Amino acid sequence: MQTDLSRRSVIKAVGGAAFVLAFYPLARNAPPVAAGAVLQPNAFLEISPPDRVTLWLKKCEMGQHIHSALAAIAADELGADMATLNVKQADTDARFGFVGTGGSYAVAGFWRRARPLFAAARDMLETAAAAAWDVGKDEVKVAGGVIRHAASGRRAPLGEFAAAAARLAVPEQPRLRSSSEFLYIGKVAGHRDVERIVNGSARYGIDVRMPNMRFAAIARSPVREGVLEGFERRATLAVPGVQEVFAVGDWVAVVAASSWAAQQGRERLRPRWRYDRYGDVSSDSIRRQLRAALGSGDHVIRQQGKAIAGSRLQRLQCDYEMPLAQHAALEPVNATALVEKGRCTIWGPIHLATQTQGEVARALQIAKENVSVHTTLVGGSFGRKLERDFVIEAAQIAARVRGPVQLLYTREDDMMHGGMRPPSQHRLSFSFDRHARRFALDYDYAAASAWAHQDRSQLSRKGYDWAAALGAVDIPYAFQSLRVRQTDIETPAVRLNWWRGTYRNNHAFASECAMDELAAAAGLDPLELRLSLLSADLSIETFPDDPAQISAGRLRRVLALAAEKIAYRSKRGTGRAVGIACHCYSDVHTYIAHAVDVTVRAGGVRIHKVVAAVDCGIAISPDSVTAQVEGSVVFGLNSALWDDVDVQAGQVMSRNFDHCRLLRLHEMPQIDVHIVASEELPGGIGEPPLPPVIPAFLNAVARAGGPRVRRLPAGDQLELV
Amino acid sequence: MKRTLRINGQSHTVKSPGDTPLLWLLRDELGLTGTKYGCGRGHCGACTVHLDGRAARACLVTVAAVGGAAVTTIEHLHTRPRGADLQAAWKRERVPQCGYCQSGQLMSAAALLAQTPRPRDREISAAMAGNLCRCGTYARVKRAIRQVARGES
Repeated sequence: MQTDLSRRSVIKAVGGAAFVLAFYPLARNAPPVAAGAVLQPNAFLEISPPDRVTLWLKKCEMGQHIHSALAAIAADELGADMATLNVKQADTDARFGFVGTGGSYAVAGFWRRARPLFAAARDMLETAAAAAWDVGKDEVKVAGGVIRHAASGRRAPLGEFAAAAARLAVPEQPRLRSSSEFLYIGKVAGHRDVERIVNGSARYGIDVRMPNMRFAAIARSPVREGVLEGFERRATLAVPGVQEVFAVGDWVAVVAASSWAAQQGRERLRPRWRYDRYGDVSSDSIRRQLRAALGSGDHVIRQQGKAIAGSRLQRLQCDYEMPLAQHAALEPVNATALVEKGRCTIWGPIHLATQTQGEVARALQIAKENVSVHTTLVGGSFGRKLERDFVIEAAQIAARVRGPVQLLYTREDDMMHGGMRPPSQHRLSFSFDRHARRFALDYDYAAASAWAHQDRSQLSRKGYDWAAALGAVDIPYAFQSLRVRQTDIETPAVRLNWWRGTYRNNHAFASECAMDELAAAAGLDPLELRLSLLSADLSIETFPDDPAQISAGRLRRVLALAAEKIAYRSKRGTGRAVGIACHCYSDVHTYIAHAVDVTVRAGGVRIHKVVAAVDCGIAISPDSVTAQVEGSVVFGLNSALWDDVDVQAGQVMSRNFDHCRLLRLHEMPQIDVHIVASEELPGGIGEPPLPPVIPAFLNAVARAGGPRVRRLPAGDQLELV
Repeated sequence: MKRTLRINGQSHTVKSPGDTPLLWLLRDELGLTGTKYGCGRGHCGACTVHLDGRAARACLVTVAAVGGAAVTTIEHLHTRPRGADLQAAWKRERVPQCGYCQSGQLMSAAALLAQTPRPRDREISAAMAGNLCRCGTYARVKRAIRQVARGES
């Protein structure tokens, strides 16, 4: 793969004693830089003699081991030694451009856009070394931090020719490494900071500490848009350690010398809010709202084929219901902020640093250039830390006091005030002729809109919440006739946000369970039905203006692999069966199939094994891929069994782990992960393995003689034994 | 009132009021941030420390209740029996995903092995049942504990 770099980047040597080869992705029309000139840096890569390589990464590390993966890609392409590679977290300095993480897109994006930059650097180092040694350029190789000339045995550390390389022109079409040259891709494993994690020195957002730092807790209305009518200061200020108490709009901040004092102070505030609205909203009222919207079919988002007719036509209608769910990452949201001399600095476990920078600037009414956001290690997110409200609050508190302040959400705050997984209701109406093997689907669903909370401008791009269509618009089965219709509802009383896998979880649950129901109604094996309907590739717009390609063959392959590895065809005893489900996470061209082996008896389900087959293209870190699949299976089983949120009178009542049950060590089933060997472009793995987990499990339960669960959580009908 | 607590082998004179949970004393007054806050109510185990070698949830133990007990935190795990072995096993098995719960996981595992050097599976399950992991690293946690218990380091 070759790529044109000349307009996008330039190499320069930064002067002084250290010769530095630095990469600067520049604006299109920026003039090339003469060697030796000093420029404001705009860099992701810095190389200095003898072999010091520094890499700035824009992605936040939240457990998906993205720093390991991106460092491996960079080190392999450049020829650096990963053991001595220095990785830094890019902040919102303008030279880095947009800083944000999401969509499981980091590896795919880096592979396409950043590899050429490292390849160009390597090319120039090879050219410079060849010139210095007076040998042919193709005789020089850079790998593992060393430049070598095999024929003569000469070698030098990678940084030795940095200054000489900096005087060369940027190659327009640098050669990218072939996979046979990779030292790290395909082998790197684990968290880069594992040493500090196991010895307790790893610093998450909540662990940020600096001199004179204080701690804050906020009392917020438990019902959205509550109007603050009053609170008591005296008792709060009397708590040892509490130093300041003030209102910001409709919330009240308590600033103290310690987290505990801030929380204790907040307990004494006795704040009063007036709720003008939402007092009648509950989980049940939202469910009714969705049910009423189901069938409106406001937006036809896909339509193809002709209706099937015939005297042998049968029909099947299945309705499915997906409730709210919380993220429940172990580190609650938090942010540390310092406002002084018109500048605001932020530290925190934040996905979207650049977006946060802009929103904080607007909230404080200062220029965005005067706001810096530093992303810390993230203690789990699953989408929770995409939100910015907790950062803006921290900044607003810091703007009112002296010195740095850390705003910590307690577990209750985190669960009450975070946006949640959008609920939805689904109706799949099949008509089919089982003898002629013709199938038609009319898929209708009502979904609560997350974009309505996160960015309303997205609703006008296509006239509906296009994110709620992910997983519905790209159903991969070649039905003879397929119509997909969406109706949006809004839930202003209950904030919604992206939850790992987004709406693909909702649609995979409904459609993959329905496929099994269709198979049963048609007297067909569920695996065989799917394989036969995965007969055509699909090209379809999912993200606006962005067509996704779905390979039927790659999806068939993972289904067949999962089925093979779980011995799908083996006879199992009464009450025991295997269920399957598959999904193409087309946003990052990653293909997943799960097969779950269960026994159901007397209202209890035992999970013997989960087999996952993954095609994520080139797996940068197979061990991390395996870990993400394992984690997704636990996350998905949890959701199938227990995830739900109780909302009463406009308030989130599920506020701690006593009302949000999480799977424990002894409840984790055996999980076998099989990664398809592939030379395809790397996809993503943080979210893709999740959507098919719920339906694979529920299909197993039904096939084992248990109930056909159409309304989650299944734990209302089934106990995990 | 000032108290003296013995933490990680050292005496500390502390200022936090007696009803302060040990968790916040460690994190805010002493700057020992390795012990994590996850729920504040003893549900999640992220705050697990040792009191005289036994696992305790630091969010539920007040400074006053610690008394003369020896407190050990993750920062001193390597000094506990099998502590360094557990840390090595955690690295070998690539246990952590986000890593936030792992201080608590390691401390619970160390307390278990100090009590029961060769635990059966059900003893591992019971000892670790109070340590939640949202990333789902349990299979690797269990594998790492078994390895250390079997002396495979």
